Amino acid sequence: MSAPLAPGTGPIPVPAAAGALRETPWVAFGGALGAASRSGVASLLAGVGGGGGGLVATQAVNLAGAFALGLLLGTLEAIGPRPRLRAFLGIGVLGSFTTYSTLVAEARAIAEATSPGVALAFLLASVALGLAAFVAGGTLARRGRLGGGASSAGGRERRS
Amino acid sequence: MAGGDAMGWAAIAAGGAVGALLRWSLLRLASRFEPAVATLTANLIACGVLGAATAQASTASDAGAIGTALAAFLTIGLCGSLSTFSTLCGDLIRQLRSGPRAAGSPPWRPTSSGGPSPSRSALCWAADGPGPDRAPVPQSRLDARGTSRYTRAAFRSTAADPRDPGAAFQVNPNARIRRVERGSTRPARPSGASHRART
Repeated sequence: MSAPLAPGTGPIPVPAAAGALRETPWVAFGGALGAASRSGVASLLAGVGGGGGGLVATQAVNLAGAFALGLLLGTLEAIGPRPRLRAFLGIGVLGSFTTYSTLVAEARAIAEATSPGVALAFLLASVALGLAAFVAGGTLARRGRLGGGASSAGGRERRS
Repeated sequence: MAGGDAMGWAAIAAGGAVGALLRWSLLRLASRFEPAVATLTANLIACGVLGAATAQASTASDAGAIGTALAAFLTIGLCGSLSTFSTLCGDLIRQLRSGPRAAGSPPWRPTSSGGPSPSRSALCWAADGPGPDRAPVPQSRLDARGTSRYTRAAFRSTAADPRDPGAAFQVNPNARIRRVERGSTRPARPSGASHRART
């Protein structure tokens, strides 16, 4: 069989060690920045919603981070590979800015306060919203690259 | 965050750096087979550590400033940074749009219908933009991997970085044009050629 033609369908090349070492400080610096930013957002939103500020803050950082990652990766597609920028912003800042463990901890608190079904629905809704935010970010980057919705009619015309 | 003291902020930042580096290391290790495994592993480890740290904190008495900073390092910094939600979303989108199932069902629900599920179609439409309708691809246009010509053209020349969850957006903008011209390219491979070459 020929080489894989779509991402995630075959052997994946291992990143060069030297390149990965060059990106490592950027990942660490971005991770520190992202974690501090997340904590700052949590502090700002601590009093929102009558004690539910932590939940609101987690949702806010996750959705904003997913949207920003989609936007970043859609932009990187246009401007070409930028390993350090991707390592710093994508893996470091945005990867640390968003959190899954806190989301799960809040789902556990919801399960204790209400029922496991509500907590499961909360988790599923959070992931669905995150997917939508990620796709929205990528779509926004793509539309900005193509000059708005001009591709809409073009795509359908070419097909018909 | 518990308090705005400098030690707490430094602990969170240090934990964030360590967590990001651990996640980055997992990503490099898992890039040999599937980068999504790294995200899954990082999230699972972070949830386990956070659960243990929370249980420990609930039983401990007053820990003092150092204990508070250590807890902030471990929970808010390390666990919060080791786990990630944005990369998880990117991985999920990439899995939903991966090639072999491009004309079929989502990865977790194999079917024999040959058509995309409504949810997957909506995601692809949103990610690709309003392009061609995602009608079921006839079996005659699929290769042995179940990959359609449209999918192969879309991903052929992008050289997507597999470590990158944004491979979901590594789509060749000229793919639709190539699809129109597909009749003039790619000569058919003689049957059994690859088998003879290996043996």
